[in-house]
Amino acid sequence: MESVWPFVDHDVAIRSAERSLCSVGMNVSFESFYRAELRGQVRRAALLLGSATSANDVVHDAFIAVFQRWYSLEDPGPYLNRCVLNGCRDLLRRQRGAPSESRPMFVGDRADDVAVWDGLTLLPFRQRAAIVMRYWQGMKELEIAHALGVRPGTVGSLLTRGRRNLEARWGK
Amino acid sequence: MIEFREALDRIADRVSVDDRLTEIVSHSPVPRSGTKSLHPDTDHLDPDEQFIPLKEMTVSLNTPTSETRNRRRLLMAAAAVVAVIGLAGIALIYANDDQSPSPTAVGDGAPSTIAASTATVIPRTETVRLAATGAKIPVTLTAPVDWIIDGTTVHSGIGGVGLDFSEIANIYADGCQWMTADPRVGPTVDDLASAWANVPDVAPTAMQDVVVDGYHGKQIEFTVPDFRPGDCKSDLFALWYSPGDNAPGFWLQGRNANQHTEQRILDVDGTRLVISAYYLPSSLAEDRAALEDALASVQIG
Repeated sequence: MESVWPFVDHDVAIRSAERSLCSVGMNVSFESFYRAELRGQVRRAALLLGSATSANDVVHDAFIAVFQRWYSLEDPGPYLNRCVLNGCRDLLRRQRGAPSESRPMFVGDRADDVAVWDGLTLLPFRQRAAIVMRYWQGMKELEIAHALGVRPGTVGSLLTRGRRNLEARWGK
Repeated sequence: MIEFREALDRIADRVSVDDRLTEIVSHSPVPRSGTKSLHPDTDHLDPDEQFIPLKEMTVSLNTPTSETRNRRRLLMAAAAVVAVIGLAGIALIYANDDQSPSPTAVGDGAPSTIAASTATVIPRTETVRLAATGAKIPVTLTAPVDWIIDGTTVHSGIGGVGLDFSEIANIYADGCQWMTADPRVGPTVDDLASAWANVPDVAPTAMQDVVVDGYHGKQIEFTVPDFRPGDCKSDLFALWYSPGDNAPGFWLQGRNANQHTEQRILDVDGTRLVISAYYLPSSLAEDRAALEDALASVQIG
């Protein structure tokens, strides 16, 4: 059976190139950095939080943190990643117990999308984040480890457990 | 075969992204000697022409509340792709009637002149129509695009705020153990509003007169006590149930300790419509503000 997990391919290479563009730091203006990172960061945060509004808030709080340190950051990209992920995790912790079993409207009603979304929402935060960063954003395990603040070896474990959980849900 | 990445791409493509650059650069960075411009590409522009924050682009709908709120909602409507979503009535939903209308989005009447001048504006709100609420009375409201519609409830998901439109058959005198009020609450607005006074566990406020979209009624507020997991039956503090239910059908009502509810009990042409606006102590200020805006936008009928 064909794997549902995508190989690193052309699209992923493009995403990686976009990130590289962002990570040149002081060679680009803050505005350029903001424009290049905004969309991907908000979308990823929305996939982790289940709310576009909260995702926009978390990402912009992170951008403020980056902006305030703009002249001292060697490489703002990883710092922004870390801030956004910490913001997502903190928000979910604060809102633990709040109703979240329903799908946000941006998921739509296509069967595959619903299945993927429902599977993602069952994963613990770090597994979900690792899966999204690896298989949607095409990030390397070392980058994911830095973003999540874990050892590189832990990322492999998170991905394996995340995949196992999703496949158990999907029956594959 | 589930195409994982393609599915996530489609989902992510539907996420709205705000542009708040001006808001960010209003925070001063820590300077370094010999610094350069933070945004040299745009420094030559008039500051007013550079980046317009979305929050300044709010306008309002024609509603009978305060003028300030009307302006705000009209701006929000102009900044949004407004859809009208029809929902099946709760009775039809629970009956699994295939004839029930599914949520449907249609174009709105957002002023074309404003839309043309705000090409970069990301939709933030939409108009939602509940074709039949728990009281079988249609309502229309404007809510953030990523709020969720669950039957007769429109809520923010993890934000912990929302609006419910119900009929209430009876309330729980002991919400922790799910003991219903006996005798059962009567059918009038005053019957329900005064019944809450007999539930001291939720610390009800005194009832006040209220008007929503021209319909008169009573408003009362109450707060779920600070119960802990294991304290209450099924870890839920029950508040009320709807006709036809044998249990608290609106599960969100008592899921969280300290949840605060503002309940507006209206007489809509002889039918009792109950609008419950709820939030948590941990709900964010912007979610609370969105809840107030949604509540102010409610149109009945």
